Amino acid sequence: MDTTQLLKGVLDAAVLAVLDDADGYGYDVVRRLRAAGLEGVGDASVYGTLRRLYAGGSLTTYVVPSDEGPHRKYYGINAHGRATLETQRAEWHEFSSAMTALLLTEGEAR
Amino acid sequence: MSAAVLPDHVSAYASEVRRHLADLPHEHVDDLTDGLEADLTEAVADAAGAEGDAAAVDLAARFGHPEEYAAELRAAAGLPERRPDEAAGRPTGGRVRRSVRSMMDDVESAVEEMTNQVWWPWVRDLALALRPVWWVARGWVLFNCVAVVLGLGGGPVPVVLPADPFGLLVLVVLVLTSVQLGRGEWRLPARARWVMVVVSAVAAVVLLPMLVAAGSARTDVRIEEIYSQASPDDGVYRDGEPVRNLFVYDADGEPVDGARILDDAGRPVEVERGEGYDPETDVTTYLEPRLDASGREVWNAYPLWSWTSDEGTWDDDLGIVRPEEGAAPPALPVPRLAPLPAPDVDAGDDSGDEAP
Repeated sequence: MDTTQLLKGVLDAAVLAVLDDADGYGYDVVRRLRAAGLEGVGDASVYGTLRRLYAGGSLTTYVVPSDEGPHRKYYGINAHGRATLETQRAEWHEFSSAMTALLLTEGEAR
Repeated sequence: MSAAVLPDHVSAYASEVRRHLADLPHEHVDDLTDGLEADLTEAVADAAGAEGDAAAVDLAARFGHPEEYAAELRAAAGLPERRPDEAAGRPTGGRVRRSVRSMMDDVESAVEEMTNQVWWPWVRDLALALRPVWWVARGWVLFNCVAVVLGLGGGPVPVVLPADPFGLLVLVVLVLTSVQLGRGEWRLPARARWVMVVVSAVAAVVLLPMLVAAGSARTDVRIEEIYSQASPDDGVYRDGEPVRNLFVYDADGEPVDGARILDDAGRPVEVERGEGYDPETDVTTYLEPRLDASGREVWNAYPLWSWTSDEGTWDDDLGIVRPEEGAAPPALPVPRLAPLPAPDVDAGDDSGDEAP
C-alpha cells in the first residue's frame, strides 16, 4: 500500500493534532510526525500544509529569534483550528472503524 | 548543532527551490519558504547524526530534486502547479539567449536570496524612504551631463547649483521631471521606457564621482573667496606691511603736527587703528587719535600719538596698557628734512600765482 497517498488525506489532521499538543516550527512538526510513526511524511508536504492551514485561518504564527541561525517561524493552533481538528477526529474515527472492520473481515475470510 | 557549517549547499538548494516557485506572487513564495534554510539545516543535521558527516549529506538524495521539493510544497499548500510555459516551454532561442536567460536566473536567485535575509525588510524600507532623494539626485546628474555638452552652469562643471539663471532653470526642470517620473505622476510612453532605465543606470553609476567632483570644485571657490577677502580693505601699506603712523614735513623740511591727510577723493587717509603687536620684541604699540572741537576722534591727523607697552602699566578699566602721564607725541623718525628749493617762478604758467 502506498502510504504517501494515504498520508495526503490525513496530513491536515495529523499536523493539527501535533500542534494541538504544543506549538512548533516547520521541521519540529516534521520531526514529531515522524516520531509518532509517520515515517514517510515529506518535509515539503508538511511545510506546505502548515502554510495552507495558516492561510485558511486554522493556525496562528509568530517569529522566535534564534541565537545560532535564522529566526524560527512558530505555528500554533487557534479556536478555528481546534474545531476543524474535532471534526476531522470524528470523521477519522468513523472512517477508520469502517476500514478496520472491512479489512478484518477480509483477513478472516481468507 | 552544526547550523553554521552548512550554509553553502543548504542555501544553494533553498534558492533552487525558490527559483521553481518564482512564478508565484512574492508573498506566497515568502510564506512558503520562510525558514526553509533553517528547516533544511536542522533536517540535514538530524540525517548526519545517523549517517555521519553533515556536510556530506546529499540534499537532493535526502529531499529530492529542488523542483520536486517545490512541487510538493505548492501542492501541499494548495497552490497551482507551475504553468507549463513557465517551466520548460519558454521559447528556446539561440545559445546567447539561453545563456542570457541562465544569467538572469542567477541574478534572480541571488536577489531572492537577499530578499529572504532578516535584515532585508529594514533595508528595503530605508531604500523606499530615500527614493525621493534619488529622484532629485538623478535630475541633478542629468543636468550636469547636459551642462557639459551645452556649456551651462556658469563655470566649471559639475556644480552643485549653477551660477547662471538659465542653468538654474534647466536644473529645476530636469529635477522636476525626474521627480514626477519617479512618483509616477508623469509617464513615458511604453516604447520610451528603456530611455528612463538607461538614464537611471548611468546616473546611478555617475552620481558618486560627480558628487565628489562637485564637492571639491566648491572648495576651490571657497579658497578663492578667502584669498580675495584677505586683500587690504583699509589702512596704509608699504611693501605689503601696514604703516603704523605717518609723519608730515613741510616744504622747509620741518615736522608738521596735526597734519590731516586726504586722498584724491577727499576721503581721510587712515592707518590701521588699534594695537600693533610685534612678536619679535614682544612690544605692543598703542595709538591715540586727536580729538576735534566736539570731541570726536580724528584718525587722519598725523602723527598719531602713541606709546608702547614698555612705557606704561596695565589699566584694568580700559583693558590696555596706559602710560602714567597719558599719550605723548611719538618720536620723529628724523628730526627734519632738507628744505625743498622754492618753486621756480618762471617754470610754467600754472605756477605763476604761487610766486611769493
